[in-house]
Parts: sequence; C-alpha cells; structure tokens
Amino acid sequence: MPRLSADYSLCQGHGRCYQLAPEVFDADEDGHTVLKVEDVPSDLVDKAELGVENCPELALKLER
Amino acid sequence: MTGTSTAPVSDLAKSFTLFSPEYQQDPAPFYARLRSECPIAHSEQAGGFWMISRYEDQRYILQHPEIYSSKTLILGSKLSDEIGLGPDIPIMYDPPVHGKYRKIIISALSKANVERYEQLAIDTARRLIDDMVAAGEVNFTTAFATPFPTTIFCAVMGIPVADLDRFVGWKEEFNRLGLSHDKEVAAEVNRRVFGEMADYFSHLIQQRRADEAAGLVADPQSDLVGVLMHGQYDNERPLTDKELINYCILVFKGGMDTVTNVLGMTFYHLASDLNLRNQLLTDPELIPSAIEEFLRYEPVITGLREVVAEDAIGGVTFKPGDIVMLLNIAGARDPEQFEAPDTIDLQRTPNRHLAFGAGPHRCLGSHLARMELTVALREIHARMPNYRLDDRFPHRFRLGYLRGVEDLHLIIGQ
Repeated sequence: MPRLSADYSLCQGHGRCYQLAPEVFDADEDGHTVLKVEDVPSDLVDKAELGVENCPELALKLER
Repeated sequence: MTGTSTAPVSDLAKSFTLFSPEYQQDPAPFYARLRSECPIAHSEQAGGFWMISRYEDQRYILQHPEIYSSKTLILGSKLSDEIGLGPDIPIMYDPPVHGKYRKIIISALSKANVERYEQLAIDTARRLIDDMVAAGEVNFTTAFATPFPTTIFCAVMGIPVADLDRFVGWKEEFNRLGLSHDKEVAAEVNRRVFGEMADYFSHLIQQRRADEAAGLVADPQSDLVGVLMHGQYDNERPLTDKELINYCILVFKGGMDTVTNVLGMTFYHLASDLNLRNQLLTDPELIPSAIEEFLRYEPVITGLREVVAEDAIGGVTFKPGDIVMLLNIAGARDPEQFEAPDTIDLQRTPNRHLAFGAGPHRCLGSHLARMELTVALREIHARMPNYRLDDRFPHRFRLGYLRGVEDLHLIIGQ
C-alpha cells in the first residue's frame, strides 16, 4: 500500500491538502496537517496525490 | 519582450523600483526577461537590493528565515516603529520570537474558525450585488471590492462597522504614501496614520476592558481584539498595551486591502475574457480551483528579506545587510514550476503558488481570504452573471508592494 508521510517541521498550515482532499487530510487546532491515513488504500491514492502535489512547502510525501 | 528597450536586462534592473512608471501596467514581460537572462539581478535604487525572479529561489529564501530575516519588509518606512511601537508584530520578527507572537492568533484564523463569518460574507455580498445590479454601471472597486472584505474584517477584528470609513481612509493614506521609498514622506504619513490608529485601538481596548469588568461582554474572545487582549506570549505573560496596539495595526495592514486587490485583479481578468467567466458560470464547482489560479497568476504582494548570514544563490553571494526582493509575479510565471505559466487555467493542478508566501510567515489571513473570495465569486456569478469591462474608462494598474487595479469600471447586464 502506498505510504503517506508529512514533515511537520515544514508544514505551515496553508491547508491546501485538507481543502482538496478532506478524505485523507485533516487539520489540527492551529490548522497544520493531520494525516487521516498513512497506508493509503487504492481508492484514496488519487486524493492523497492531489494533496501532496499541491503543498507549497513540499511537506508531504507519498511513497508507492 | 517589452519592445521598449534592447539594453541588457541587468542594466534595466539597475534603475528598477516597484514604483517605476514603465512597470506599473504589467511587469510580467520585464520579469520574464529577468528570470531567463538574469535571475539574480541588482537594482541600485533605494539603497540597493537584489531582485529574485525564479520560483525555486523564492521558496528557498522564504523557508530559510535564519539566513533571510524579516526585520526589513519594505525599503522606505520603519512602519509601526515610526511612532516608537517597535517592529510590526509578528511579521517583522524571526523565529523563535515570531512563532510565539503568531501562536496567539493562529487558531482564531484557522479554516474552521473563519467559517463562522461565512453567513455575514454571504449577506454582505448579496446586499452589494443587488446595488450593483440596480446601478447597471459600477466602479467595482468602490462598489464591491472595498466594502465587501472590509465589512467582514470589522467583524473578525471586533471593530464597530460604523468606524469602517475611518479605517478605509487610513488604508488609503498608508497605501498612497506610507510605502514610499522617500523615507521622509513615508515617515511623515505613517507617524500621522499610525498615531491616529494607535489612539483608536488604545481607546477601543480600554473600552473593552471596562465593558468586560461590567459584565457586558458575553464572549470576550469572539474576535481578534479579544483574542489578543486575553492571549499569552509563550504561555507566560499577556501582551503589553504597546504590543496589543502594534499587533492590531499589523492585522489592519494585512487584512484591510489585500482581498480588495485580489478581487480587482480577478474580476479584471474575468471581465476581459468571457471564456473564463463562462467556465465559472457553467461549472461553479470550479470556483475553489479558479481562486487558487487567480492567486497564482496575479499574486498581489511583493516582499523583502534582509540577509543576516552569508549565502549564495545561482553563483551570486549575498552579504549580511543585503536586501533581497522576491518578485512574486516573476516566480508565479516560472515555466520551471508551472506548465504554460502565462495561461490562466482554472483547473490547474499542481498549483503550488506562493501568493500567501511560504515558510513560517505564511499569510495568517489566508483562510479568511479564501472564504471571502469563494463567497464573492459564488454570489456574483449566481446573481450578476453578465458583466463586462466598461471600455469608456482606462484601466490603470499599479505594481508597488501591493499590486492592484485603481478603478475597475464594469457594465452589468446583457
């Protein structure tokens, strides 16, 4: 299963991931990313990818 | 190409400022030459500064505050320190102090929290749109782009809406001359504008304390002034009155005018290109992605950093004390980052634009701005679908630190 990870030292709370893919990403109280899944099931891979590729900080990674 | 000069672009750069008349309408052709021919250029104006035009270099600078400090944000004025309030909180501080100030309001401006203002945004938008439809011909800047976000700003901040005109007046004075590179002119204007604002917020805070003591305030932290009054710096102490006033003035600078200018540029493009407008009419689901694309295509803010440790980018060495200016519009049109960068593609993905910055200073108001822009685009296209540029008026743009269109005249209707 593709593995999703976040570098929390880079996340600045832009919120692009949880806006585009709320099925995969959530926000903590300050608006920083929270991963709802780490092992991404096949039906959510496209959504996870959408969040990853739109992060302005390059804080997210999806390893297939 | 600009068509006006065949001089090496590095020579043109020497005389560049954000206020140079030749770049006010559209800096993009000059910026494209800089990006491809001289991506780290140098201007000799306003004390001298480096001009950074590649996207990757801009993100690198924004993500490295230990090398590129925010202690200098504009070239002319000392901003709030013109009246002895110190550097603007939190924006002119670097980590770790910056984060301790920022932490106080970050949660109040989260995506979840700004949704509390969505109904006010919808009601405000509908009222203003009804007036525009009735008028038939409008100056969109004064009829919508200014009153819409500033009305919401008052509620978010906790300022009586009756005082809105005073804030708009301060905003206009600050924008006209407070950002000038002429230090004396900027200092004089800013001492007056910020002095009046400091008095205003000082009274507002005293009144709020009195009201709270009298039990008249149901939820003291329901707006940003209240959040700041009750917030703790680093969980150890409340802000001093001087810090409170400084922080309120900074929120004003960030919140009063930015969305106004994004709306102006966005509706200029929508009204000039009916194909774009029709895409939104056909498929309103495109609006969130369209907003990101307009933010990318016309990022309104140009920022600076001051070098505090020697570093090199692209073979150019920067020394402590050097100023780097991030030409946001140049980065936004960088073909290394964005496919077909000069095309407005409302479905663009990926879209890692830096309109809200990057690194620890990511715009705190970005979620509020997105909510306002979403409501504006949704309501205008639902209730006022037919609009076009009124060609009887010239459309004048400004570059500056905050890009925008001066007056956007539209004809509403068929």
